[in-house]
Amino acid sequence: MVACVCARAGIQNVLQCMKGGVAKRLVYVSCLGAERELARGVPALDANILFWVLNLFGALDAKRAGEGLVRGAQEMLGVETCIVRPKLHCYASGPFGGLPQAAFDDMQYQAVNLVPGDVGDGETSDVATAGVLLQTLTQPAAANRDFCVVNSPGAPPTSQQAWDAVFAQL
Amino acid sequence: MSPYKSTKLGRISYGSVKSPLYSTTTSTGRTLPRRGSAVMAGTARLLAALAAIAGASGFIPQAALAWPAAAGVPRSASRGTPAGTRALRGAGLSEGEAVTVVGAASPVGRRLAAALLADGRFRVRLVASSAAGLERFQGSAAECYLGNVAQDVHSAAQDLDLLVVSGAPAPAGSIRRAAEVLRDSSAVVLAESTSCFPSVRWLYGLRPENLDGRGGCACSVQPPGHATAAVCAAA
Repeated sequence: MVACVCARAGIQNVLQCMKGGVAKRLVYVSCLGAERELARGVPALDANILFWVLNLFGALDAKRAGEGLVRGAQEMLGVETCIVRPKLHCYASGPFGGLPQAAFDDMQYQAVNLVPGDVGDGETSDVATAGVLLQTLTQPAAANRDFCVVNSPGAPPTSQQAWDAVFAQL
Repeated sequence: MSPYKSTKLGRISYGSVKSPLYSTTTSTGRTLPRRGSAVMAGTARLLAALAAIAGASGFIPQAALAWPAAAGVPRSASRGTPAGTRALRGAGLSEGEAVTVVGAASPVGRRLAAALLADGRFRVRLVASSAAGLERFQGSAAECYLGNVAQDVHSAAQDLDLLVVSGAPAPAGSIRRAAEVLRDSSAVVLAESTSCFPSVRWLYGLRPENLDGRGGCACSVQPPGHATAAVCAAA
């Protein structure tokens, strides 16, 4: 069945539904490069060329718009917000998707780094992103912050103390 | 302004897989000091000393030296985040509170859902647009709902419906208002994702602008096992 709809964004619908609720914290999974002002047309041959490619069809522009909506929720809903930026890939799965978790494990590329703002670059595993998202629910340092999540060589944080040290980077 | 502009030292290259977080080798072969290194610390001390001398001599107003704190500019992680501009409700969640994951079938969302269930401190509610993505969580402690929050726009957002799959107070197959689920949640994680490039998911109405952007008009196909406005209204 084909249907033509004029849709609000999913985030807008969620924010409308949250009005008058008891929510304390709103966490948004954005992506690396969402806040960079990527040129339209011929790109500059710099480190942002990958993000220019990812934004060919407006995916990063949409994420930036989503970040704006989430920031607006601070005042509209009175909630703490947290914007997490992992690495985004062309597709959610497949040959142009992200690296499988086994690759991160084989390379011992499991340490987690948080970089405030949108200035980082690197690979991010889904497991690391999920771990960071879980921590953002309870970490005071994550309130009203936006940061990048990238993996680096090393062991993953497994204890709460290790995660506290990770969030001390913010 | 992009932090990746060319510098006098040459264009900075980032992002080598085997390099640390920031590989700071420039195109001219020079290695830039990392943040926190001895060179940077020495530079910071020198600048601080110069600022103190200038401030003591009255050459620079004290208010300007104290910027951004005295100027009322929030110390933010990046531009646009008004950190500290309002009183916080609290520092995080407490045990037993409800957490809703919107996009629980996405690669990150399903791992977050599994982590939340393994953690066990919170009540977990999962909202996904794919029934297949929720199968693995049926029978768990999570409340599972099927619904595409990006598409049900024929009525007010407060009327957005979710199909109960399992674990909810309402029986499976019944309809719950999304507002009921979300208003009662102490935290909401927006983990929905789609592909950057055109894909089948885009035909289903899961384009980036539908999920994250400002919305827009598009023709979508209703696939089997996916929730759209029509599915929710008819169920």
